[in-house]
Amino acid sequence: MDGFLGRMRQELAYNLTFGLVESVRELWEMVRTAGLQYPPNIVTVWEVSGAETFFSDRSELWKVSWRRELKKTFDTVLDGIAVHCFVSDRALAVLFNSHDWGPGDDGSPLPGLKRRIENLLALKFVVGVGRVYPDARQLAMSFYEARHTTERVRIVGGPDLDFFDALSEGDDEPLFEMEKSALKRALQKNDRRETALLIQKLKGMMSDRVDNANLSSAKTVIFDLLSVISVASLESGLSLEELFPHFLEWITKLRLAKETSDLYRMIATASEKVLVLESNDRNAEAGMITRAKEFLQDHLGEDLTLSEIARRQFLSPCYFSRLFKQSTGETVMEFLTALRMAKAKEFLKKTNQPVSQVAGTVGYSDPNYFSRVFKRRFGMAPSEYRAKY
Amino acid sequence: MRLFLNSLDSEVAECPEELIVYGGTGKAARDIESAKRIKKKLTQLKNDETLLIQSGKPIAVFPSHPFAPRVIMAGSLLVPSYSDYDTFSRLERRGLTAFGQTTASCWAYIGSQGVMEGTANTYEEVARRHFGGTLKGRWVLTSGLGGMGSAQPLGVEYNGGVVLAVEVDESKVDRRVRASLCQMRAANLDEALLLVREAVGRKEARSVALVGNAAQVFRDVLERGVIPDVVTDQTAAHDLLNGYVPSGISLSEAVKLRADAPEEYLELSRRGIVEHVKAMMEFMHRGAVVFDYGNNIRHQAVAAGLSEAFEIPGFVSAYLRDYFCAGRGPFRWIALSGQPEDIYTLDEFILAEFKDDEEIAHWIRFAQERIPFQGLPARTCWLNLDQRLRLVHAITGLLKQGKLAAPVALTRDHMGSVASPWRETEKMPDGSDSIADWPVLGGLLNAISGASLVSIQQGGGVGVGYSLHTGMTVIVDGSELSAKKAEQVTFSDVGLGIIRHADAGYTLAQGMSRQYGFNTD
Repeated sequence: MDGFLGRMRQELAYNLTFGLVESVRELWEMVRTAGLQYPPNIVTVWEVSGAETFFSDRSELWKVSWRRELKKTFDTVLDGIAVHCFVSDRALAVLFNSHDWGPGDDGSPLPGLKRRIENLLALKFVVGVGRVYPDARQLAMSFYEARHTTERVRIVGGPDLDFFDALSEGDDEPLFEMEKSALKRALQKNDRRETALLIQKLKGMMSDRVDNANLSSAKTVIFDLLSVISVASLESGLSLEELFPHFLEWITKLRLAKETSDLYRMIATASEKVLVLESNDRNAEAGMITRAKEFLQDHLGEDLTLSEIARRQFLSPCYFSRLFKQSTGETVMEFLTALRMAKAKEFLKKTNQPVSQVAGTVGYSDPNYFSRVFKRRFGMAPSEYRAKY
Repeated sequence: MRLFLNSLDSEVAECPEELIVYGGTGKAARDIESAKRIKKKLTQLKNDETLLIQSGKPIAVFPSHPFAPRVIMAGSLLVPSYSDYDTFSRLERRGLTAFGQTTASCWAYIGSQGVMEGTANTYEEVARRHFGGTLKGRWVLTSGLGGMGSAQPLGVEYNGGVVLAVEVDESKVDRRVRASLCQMRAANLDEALLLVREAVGRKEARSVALVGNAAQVFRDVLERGVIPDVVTDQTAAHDLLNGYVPSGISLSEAVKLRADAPEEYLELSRRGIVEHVKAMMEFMHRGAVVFDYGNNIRHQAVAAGLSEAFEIPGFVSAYLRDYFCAGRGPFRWIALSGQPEDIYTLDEFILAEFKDDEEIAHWIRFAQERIPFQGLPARTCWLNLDQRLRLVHAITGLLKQGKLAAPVALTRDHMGSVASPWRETEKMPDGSDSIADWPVLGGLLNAISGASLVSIQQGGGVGVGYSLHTGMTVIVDGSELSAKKAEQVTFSDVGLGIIRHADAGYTLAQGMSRQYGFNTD
């Protein structure tokens, strides 16, 4: 696989993972540019097991070379099978098309791939598998599910290759799906009465349906609900910094809990905490967007990814991306590209810098890619623009 | 072969393991054994042979000639006075026949993308007649997110409106949201109405799905004193046993009861449907625009004792008849290469060639942005005869130039070639609603005109005994022979539709008929 295809595949994986593709036609053009026959339809998240133990006190240089090694191995093993991108220092999203797999779970290549990658890297991974989404534009949901699954495995245990829908297997209806969604909305609306009613209802349902004798299965359900509460609060504008200490406390309690009755109380406590935090946090959104725009203006020459930009704002990429689009009408990357292109025009007009240097100055390490983006936007190559103006 | 397998593709079919493509029990083949044999026969079939299929079962290969169809089918047909649901079900249980719905058994089903534009056109016409040409700031209450109904959310969004679609099967709701056919799912009715109200206030297009029983939710909406602007329904009301789920029982209870006590289930369905239609009528009396969306719900209600159900108008007679009089109907093309680029190449041709037709250009651009491909990439577009012929020539030319990767299948929904007195042919001016000669003539004419596949079927959409219709597919492979076949079939197929409406007394169709020289005077 040549460098260009590699970059295109990584870009495709990234855009799909973070839900940045809106048009069907654009999707197919990206798939074709990436040299694929059809788009992926399922996301898996591969997270290095126990990374925290050997990741602390390492230099940035060490982390960069570690990531490079990881990427090289994934490139080699997954070439032609999947596309992938980093979603954090220690986790990758790997996107497959499940039609390439044989029928049933036996047809999945995941166990074999996992073994191979683990042997090559001498590392252990926890792999979470989201659900299949026939429309690749919805793969951000599959990513969310996969990530949620790895978190579930890490915190409450379970197989190190686990499927998001394993929780609801065998049931006619997904577990508390409607109630979870209602709880999320009630929290987002900061509706105390509705939240209290739903928690009461969930408690009743859990005691009916969850096997109380099995502490681990009850913990899984509670973890699921804590995740709903956390996501709702993040999407309502609570910062990760504010939420994190509380989430850590809930997770620690969850790990240590010995009785199912302790677990049920946790949901009410967590919801109440989120409602209190949220009411302190309204109107903070506008400030976040202003700060993000200023950050982009000041750093447009750097090789920025959405994750990186979101991280600097202390927000999750999904939440940040949604908030930004709501507030400005553009995606973060569209906004950044527009800024970069405006800056590039300025440099082309006012300086004699070669095009490759201009590209580098506005954050494009590949001058050819810069020229393509420029031409797509202004209908002429940078050199033509310079000659004309 | 590609079309047969495509209709059973997991992205396209509702339950491929049972060979069910859509619409309750609409099947692509009678049983697994028949499916295997169809596959084998299609692989072996020569260019001068014709495969005969009887209700989803391959029965013989006859020697024919290159201009003859490769496949001919007859499906779900019964002698008229025996043509009722009970007799059909009995014979179906004995493995003697199979229900082919409309495009399921003739392998022309392409998922929701196939009916999307028809649905968008219906709502466009609703908007034009009642709301000044747009659904902005209006909302539609409907039900059913099955194969046909799943086109409704995008159809309403296309016209700028808000839709609340009620579906009893949670897995279908999940599937539609995951496939981007519906924007969001509400947790309960209150939340759904809140989401609707919010979008209506902002005049934004929005689609909301709600898991629930349509009859129950319709009554609950009425009880809250909320009146939508438009109300309709696309539940599987044509099949009271295997499709419709009566209120008061859950889906899993319904599945069990269907098997254990079918008579009791049917009785519950009849009672449920009366309540369901009563609610729709109540909406109508309180000022909503209400129409039947082709699932025979009005007739089922009449049969169950609600004699005034036909006060609700049918969607074809109310909104789409003029399209058919003008020979404009749902045309679809399927890229047998499996490559979306082929569809985009044809999109470009259409956008350039028909640039003066704003409806077409708007539709193609919307489809490119919003409608995901399911199975083989395909496009539908309501085109008239001239436009179809120009497209046929263009496909041949593009294939010759190597700009399309593989042959293209041209087909259509059965709407223009059907006798269905409670749907497509309802309220014909000369009273010929139930005359079924026309689709039979259509099938025969298509067969001699060079169609690659011709099928004559009954029961599609409205259920056994209530419709007779024909399917047609022609493959364009770039050769002169296929071009001639496609041209002739297109001319005959659209032509007969115009003649049928002209014969019924529509002046628009009579004018078109004179224009094309179809008159027998």
